[in-house]
Amino acid sequence: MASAELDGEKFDVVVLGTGLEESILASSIAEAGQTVLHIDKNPYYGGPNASFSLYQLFEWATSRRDFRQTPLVEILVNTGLSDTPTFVIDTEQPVKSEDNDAVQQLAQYATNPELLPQANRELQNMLQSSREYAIELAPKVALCRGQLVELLIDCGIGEYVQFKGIENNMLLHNGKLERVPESKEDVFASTSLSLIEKRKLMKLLTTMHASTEQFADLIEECKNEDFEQLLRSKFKLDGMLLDAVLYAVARVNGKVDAPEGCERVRKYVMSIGRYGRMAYLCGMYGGGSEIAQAFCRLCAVSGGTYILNQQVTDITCESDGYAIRFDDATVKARRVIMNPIYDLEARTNGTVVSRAICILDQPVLGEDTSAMLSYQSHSLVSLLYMTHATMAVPSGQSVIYAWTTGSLVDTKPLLIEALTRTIVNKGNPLLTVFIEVHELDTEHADSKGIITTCLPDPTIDMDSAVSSAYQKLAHHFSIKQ
Amino acid sequence: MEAAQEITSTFKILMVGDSNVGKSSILLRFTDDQFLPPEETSATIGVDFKVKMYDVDGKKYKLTIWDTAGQERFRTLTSSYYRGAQGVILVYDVSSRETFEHLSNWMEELNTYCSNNDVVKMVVGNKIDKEAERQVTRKEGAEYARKHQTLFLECSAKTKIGVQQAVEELVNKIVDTPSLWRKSSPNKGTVTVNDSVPSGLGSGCAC
Repeated sequence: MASAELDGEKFDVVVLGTGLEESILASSIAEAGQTVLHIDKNPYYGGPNASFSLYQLFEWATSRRDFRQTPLVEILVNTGLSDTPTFVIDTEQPVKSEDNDAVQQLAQYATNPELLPQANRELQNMLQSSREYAIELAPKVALCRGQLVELLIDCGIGEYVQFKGIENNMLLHNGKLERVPESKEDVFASTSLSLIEKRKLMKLLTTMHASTEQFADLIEECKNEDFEQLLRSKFKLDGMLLDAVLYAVARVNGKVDAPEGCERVRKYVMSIGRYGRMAYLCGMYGGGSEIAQAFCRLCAVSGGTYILNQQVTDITCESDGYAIRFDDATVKARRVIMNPIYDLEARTNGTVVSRAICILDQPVLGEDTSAMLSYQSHSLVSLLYMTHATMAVPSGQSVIYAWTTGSLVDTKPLLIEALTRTIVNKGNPLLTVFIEVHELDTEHADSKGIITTCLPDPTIDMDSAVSSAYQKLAHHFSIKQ
Repeated sequence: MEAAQEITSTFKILMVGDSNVGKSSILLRFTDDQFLPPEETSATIGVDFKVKMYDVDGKKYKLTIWDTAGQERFRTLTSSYYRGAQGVILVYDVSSRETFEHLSNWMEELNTYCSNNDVVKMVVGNKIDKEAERQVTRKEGAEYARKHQTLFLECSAKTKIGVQQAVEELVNKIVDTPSLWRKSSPNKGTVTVNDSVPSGLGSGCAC
């Protein structure tokens, strides 16, 4: 085992998990000159931000995943969206080493054994190009002027990651897909907006793009207002325009106060034009995982040590830090940072996100493009459409991710509705995977003084991981950004 | 300066191989013509990649040669390390049979992660200055390379022998394989995040 060589070594910080937040922390700490040992229990990078080939996805679903964090996975094979799942994987079953084929293992979870041979055939077909898929567990985009992009530039690792602009931002409104106009040019060129609507939108864009001082005045002025109310009263928005700003731009889910809403719109508007006419970028080959890996490499360049596929058996507090035990070694660290799944005592805390991954036989929204979509019903559903252009799926196919807060039993109909309205008979789902992800509580880890990271949240961009990391760096390590 | 002359293409070249076979030394010898005595080198810290301009037939190519950043130690190179590479230098130490035997692991990893099947590979046996301690014959190295259809050379980063030649051969082969570096469709329109304003995209600005 790899770790035996490290027995008895001391590190300033041991980081467990290679998700985006942990990786940002590891690289910043190593860059600040501290020694870092960075470990993942899985044989791949990315933790909850991982990106998988199809085979790896099945392997994750049947055996690799943490069953506290992801207690439920349902897989539908070539049966449309509304039928009952082909496989329901809700209990942990021991992996038999001689039976390591993920598809074989899937069979154990079949809900309708008669359909199994056909499902098996479909899966085997898709598995022939398994490696042409980069399926993300928690797909996220980057705002062109968001914190993540600034951090990549500051660290000098922009070159490590390839992005593509997300050409379309769309709103599912009254059963129709509406493109959200993004720039003044877009507003002018629009044929679907009336002259009055164009004027209202121009006013909003100009106000949100104002100088820092002017914007501060606006925030001060509206500090006690509700965001939706502000859009209605100050900008006279209603109908589709109001919904577009609320859901597709500010991505409001529930009530948001006016300053927060304005900040979100400003961030979006300021992002347009930096790398083209779009506000968002998505990473090639499964963005979150690639970006986490970029930070890991940066950490390694600064002297960080990496071990994957390494189980941690125990962490104990000692007078001057922690002893971290593996099967065949013990290392010491002054501080420990970890994803809560590394704490065997952690239980779910009630915060739940449900996600759908739908692989289609056609590029339903266009071949060489990607799109961010939103669908507001009783809760906001975010959708991300990707194709071979970002190396997410083989040529000729596409993938739509959809996610929202709440348990699968409550939100599955909503996710299906959002997916169905996006696809509108332009293609057929080959494979759909529903996942329920729970946040774990950190009480036990907190009591030991261990720093814990957050799960990818339901927001669409990666900035929450960055700001969460910044807070920890400032608070625990006096590293200021 | 260099920027004034037009660069035909940029090549990403990777170093892989076991720890202590001399990957960083080969890199340093090629780019800076330096060699650090063993007491001054340790496991690679601080080297990300090095850049060198290279001319072939009057055309200028920019080579970015990437080091493993020590992530080879426990075989945890990131899959993103391999992405977009046009050339790979697989290094072993002629005075360590183990490092030669491990080439197969590296070859396997390369085949898993390198997106382009045409990627040019070169097997390099380093440390031929330690002739007395040699454990892998030149013939064995050449045989292995032939079997895996890769280029092959022996060199010594310490004495300089073969280093320049190794990189030259690799680059010439890449230049001869345009499918590797002509803008292919997946890379069309990719964005690299940096501070400069992209050209030719129009302002698209909302102001």
